[in-house]
Parts: sequence; C-alpha cells; structure tokens
Amino acid sequence: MDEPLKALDELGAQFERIAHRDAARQPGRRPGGLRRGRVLALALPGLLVAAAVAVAATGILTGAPVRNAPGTSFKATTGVGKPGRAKLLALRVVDPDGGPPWGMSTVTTTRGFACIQVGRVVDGRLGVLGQDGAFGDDGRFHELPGDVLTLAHCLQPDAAGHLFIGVTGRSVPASALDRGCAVAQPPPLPKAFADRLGSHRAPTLPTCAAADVRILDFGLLGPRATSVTYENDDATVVKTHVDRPEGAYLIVRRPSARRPVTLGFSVGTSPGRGIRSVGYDGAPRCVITSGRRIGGARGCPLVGFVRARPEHITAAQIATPVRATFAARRVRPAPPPPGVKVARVWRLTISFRARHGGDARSNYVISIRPRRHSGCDYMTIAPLVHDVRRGAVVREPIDLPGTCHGVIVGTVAFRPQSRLAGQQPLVPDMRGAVVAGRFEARIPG
Amino acid sequence: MSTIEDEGGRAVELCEPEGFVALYRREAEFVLTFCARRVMDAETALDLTAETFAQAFRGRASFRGTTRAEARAWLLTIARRQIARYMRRGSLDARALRRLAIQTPELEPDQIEEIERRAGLPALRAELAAQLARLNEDQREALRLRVVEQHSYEHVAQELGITEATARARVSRALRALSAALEPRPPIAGETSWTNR
Repeated sequence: MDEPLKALDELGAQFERIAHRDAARQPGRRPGGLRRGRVLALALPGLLVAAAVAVAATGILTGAPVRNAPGTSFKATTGVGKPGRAKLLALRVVDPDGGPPWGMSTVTTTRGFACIQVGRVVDGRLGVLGQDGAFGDDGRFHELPGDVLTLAHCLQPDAAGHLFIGVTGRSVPASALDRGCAVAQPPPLPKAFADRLGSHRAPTLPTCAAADVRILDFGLLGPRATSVTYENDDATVVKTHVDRPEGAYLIVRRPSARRPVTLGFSVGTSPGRGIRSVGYDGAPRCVITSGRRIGGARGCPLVGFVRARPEHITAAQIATPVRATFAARRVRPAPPPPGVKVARVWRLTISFRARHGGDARSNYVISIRPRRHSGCDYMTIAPLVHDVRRGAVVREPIDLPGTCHGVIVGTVAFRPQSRLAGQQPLVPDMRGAVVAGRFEARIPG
Repeated sequence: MSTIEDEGGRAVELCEPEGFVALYRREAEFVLTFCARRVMDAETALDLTAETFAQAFRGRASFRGTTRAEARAWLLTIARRQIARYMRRGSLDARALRRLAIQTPELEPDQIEEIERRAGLPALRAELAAQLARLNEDQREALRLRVVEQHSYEHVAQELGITEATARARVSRALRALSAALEPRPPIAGETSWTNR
C-alpha cells in the first residue's frame, strides 16, 4: 500500500484543527468574535442598549468611525478617497489570535490615484478594533470611511484601471490602527533638533506588546495573477489563491526572528520578500529569489499591465515667460506652535502662465539651485501640489533658507504622466520633464 | 444526524470533529485522484480537493446519508461542481477555503509526480490518445470543433454539413466513449481492486 501523500496529510491536519476549533466553540457563539477580555459582547444583556452605539450582527459593538489623524492631509498629493468608490474585496484572512478577519479595500481618490487599505472586517465593513491602545481600548469596531486613509498606500493605476502594488513587511498593531501604540520606537532625534522642538514633539506612543503586532504583506498583482506562495510561521511553504480580478493577496503573520518588528517597510509595484512566488494565468510563475534588502527581491513582471499613452508634449507647446520675485525681507514660514523657534526664510514667488493643465499625474515642477559660486547651499525640486487649469496664471511661493544670499537660477518644467508602472503622486523627479521656462533672481540684502 | 464509520469501524457523527476527520482520511486520496483524472494536473487537483472538503465541512450539517457510498457520492457531487466551474471559468473557486483560512500546501516536484502516478495520468493520457484514435472520423471532428475549438453546435453543424441535432449526438457519443477512460472505480464494499482506471 502506498504511503499517505504528504500534501494531503498537511491539508488533513488543517481540517482536523479547524474541526476541533469549531467544536470547541460554545453553543450559540458565532465565529469571529474579538479576543476574550477585550470586547464588549452582545451577551451583556441590555447593558448598552441605550448607548449611542450600534450593535453589529456579529455581536461586536460599533463605535465612532475612524477619522484622519489631526494634521494629515492627502488633498495635495493623492487627493482624498471618494467614499462611494471604496470597494471591500472578498479576501478574508484570519488573525493569529482570532477575532474579526483582516480584509482589504481599494479606494479611488479625487486625484485619480488608486489605493489599497487594510483593516479588520465586521459585517462586511472595513475598520479597526478598539484595542492595543486604539480608541482607548474600548473593544468596539470602528469603521474606516472611504475618505479616511490609514494603513493605505496609493499608486497610479494602469491604463486599464488596474492597480499593481506590493507592500512588504509592514508592522502594525493587531487593532489595524497605528495610533494606539507604536510597533517600535523611532531613533532619537538629534539633540539640537529635539531641544528646538521642546515640548512640541509629537507625544510618544507606548510600544505595543510583541503579541499585539502583526507583520503584513499585501498588495494587488493584477488581473492575471492566480496565486502566491509564502512561508508560514512554521516554515512550511503554502499556496493561497489571490482574489480576482484584482489579484489581491494579504498575509498576516506574527513577528518572528526571520520577520522582526520594524518601522521600515517597502512599497512598490511588485511584491517583495514577504512572498516566495506568484502564479499567473498564461505566464510563467515568478519566483522571488532574494530577500536580502527590504522589498529588494527581484521584481516580478507586471503580467497584464496596460501602459498609459500620455499626450506628447513639446517645449514649444508649453513655453512661457517665468517671473521670479523675492519678498523684500525675510518672513516667518508659517505660524509656529507657541514657544517653538522657527528661522525666518526668504520667500520667492514664481509666476507663469500654464499653457497646459496639470494634475497629480501630469504636473509642473519647479527646480531651483544657486548659481555657481553663489552663497546658498540649497537645491529644490518642487512639484506643484495642486491642479492647474490650462491658461491659468500660477503663483507659487517657495521658501529658501534665510542664510542664503547671492543669485539663484531655476526652471519651470512640465512632467507628463509616466508610461511606467508605479508612478507615485508628486514625487520630486525631473525625469521626462519638458522645460517651459527659466528664471533667475537675486536674493535681497 | 448522519453518521459515518471511523478507521476502527465505529459510527461517529459527521458533525463531530472525529467524524469529519475520518471522512477526510478515507476519501481524500480518492477525491484527489478523481479530480486529477479530470483536470490532468496535480496542483489544480489538490486545489479542487481542498475546496471540495472545505465546502463539505461547511455543509456537513446538511448531509443526510449513512453509508460510505453515500458519503463518497456526496463528496463527488461537490467535486464535480468544482470541476465544472473550473472548466467553465478557467479559475478555481476558493471561497470555502478562504472562509476557513485553509491554505493549500505547495507541491514539490516529486509530490506532483507521485500524485500523477497514483492517478494513473501517464497511462490515462496514452489511453485518451488511443480512445481518440478509435473514434470514427465524424465523431472526432465533431469533438474537435466543439471541445477544442469551442464552437457552438450551430457552427459545428454548419461546418460538417449536418443538422444541429446530429452534431450534438456525435459530440455526445464521442464524449461518452472517452469518459469510460476517466472514471476511477475504487474498492468500496466488497470490491478488491480498482478497475477501469
């Protein structure tokens, strides 16, 4: 008689574990409850009936929805998520500690970018849990509205609207919200800088307990991806099907010696070291061979990627006079918090007529550098972080260090939409840019 | 509540962990072979087997049979549905697996070879080729146009200069002739060997 097949044995062990886990559940208890001791369950009769909270069908109390963290604004770069354009994918992944499964949604932004967002799923809604310091450990489920981007990553979709993105090794609290505790503490600030900030430094979050941290690998591999393989916590290699047609994958693991908690993670168009291979329909399996640097594994081909066909722009089409004017005196850059010293700056205003419209994908970029032997150790490449209407006069203020003197020179250029995958919103990059005009100005004084 | 026999011959309820595990241990390889002989690919067959058992697990409360043959028939009904879906759409359904968070193991090359050997795929491939050669030319051409070229029956009929009903009959007869080569006949009760693999 033949020996049992190893793969069937492994599969059988999983069924056995699930069968016993299922049997161990208390009668009437629904699968997918939050961790014991951290939630308010429906079983508390009448306790919170009058409270202004909704009780979801799963027996998990619902609290206030998540809002963007104070001071964050995505308008200038990606735009904000369109609430009606958030789509929760069917993908569900169990958490090592149980509770609501992890899920992923895609969000289209007002500036034409596509984002993926991960969180916990309750009653078909993506959100976060009130644990690990989030929402005062209230044990409730807090929905992530479509216009709130947290644990989200955005890139430009391809010409067919498919997003190709891979996030590798992101350490997050099990709550799915990175505001309750810190997975790790950032390195200390240089003393001089810390002294200047004084009491206005962002409050330090307590470090999450190691058991409350998850390492996430997730992304979208396009419409022709079928499966990924990865190494499980017990070092076995497992295969899982991606969610189609987006090619979505999400792997939730505990930290380990091979996957330590870190503040670093990578985002690209191709998955990194978190997975071992990608299977496609009608294309060879891509094996990711190197994981020595973050996200540095050999990229997989973007099977099914449709290149954009951007309009060809010539210098003659966009040529425009550019005016550069310094304010007569140095100014304070922005109202600083009380007690914080901020050095005065030279404010330069660049103005020109935009002969072509610009947005988050095709935009004007201003570059500035000192003229040779001038007294300013300063260079900048500044994309315009707002939409520009064709024919409009642009007036863009740019601050230079107050210690500068001498002459600066610069260009205004137009950078058309990239044909390549993974164009990030408003990255300071002059590649492919067409110069519209040049300017020169002397710093007063 | 339906019961099945465990490895020691004791009756256990299918909804109990021991009952489902016993069913899995007894039938998993058979289902894998069943799938492999239809999709001719070990990895796909393992995926289909995993999804079949995941769906069986989720629906085990609805099983009303009492015999081994009924349990097997129930599993094969699920498996056939999965295979049909796979053939129709070209993609695997893994919803039940995802809900249970079960991960299909990755097959090493030697395991793929072993599954193919146990499912008798090398012999089956040769047998299918021989069966195809044995079909008369009319049936073979009708089968090629319908199954390989995926034309409609109307197109097959036009191409062969026959009525649509005749085209359907030729394809049906050809498929019946080939299907005999696909059906595994494992021993259940009283049988001593596999026949007609």
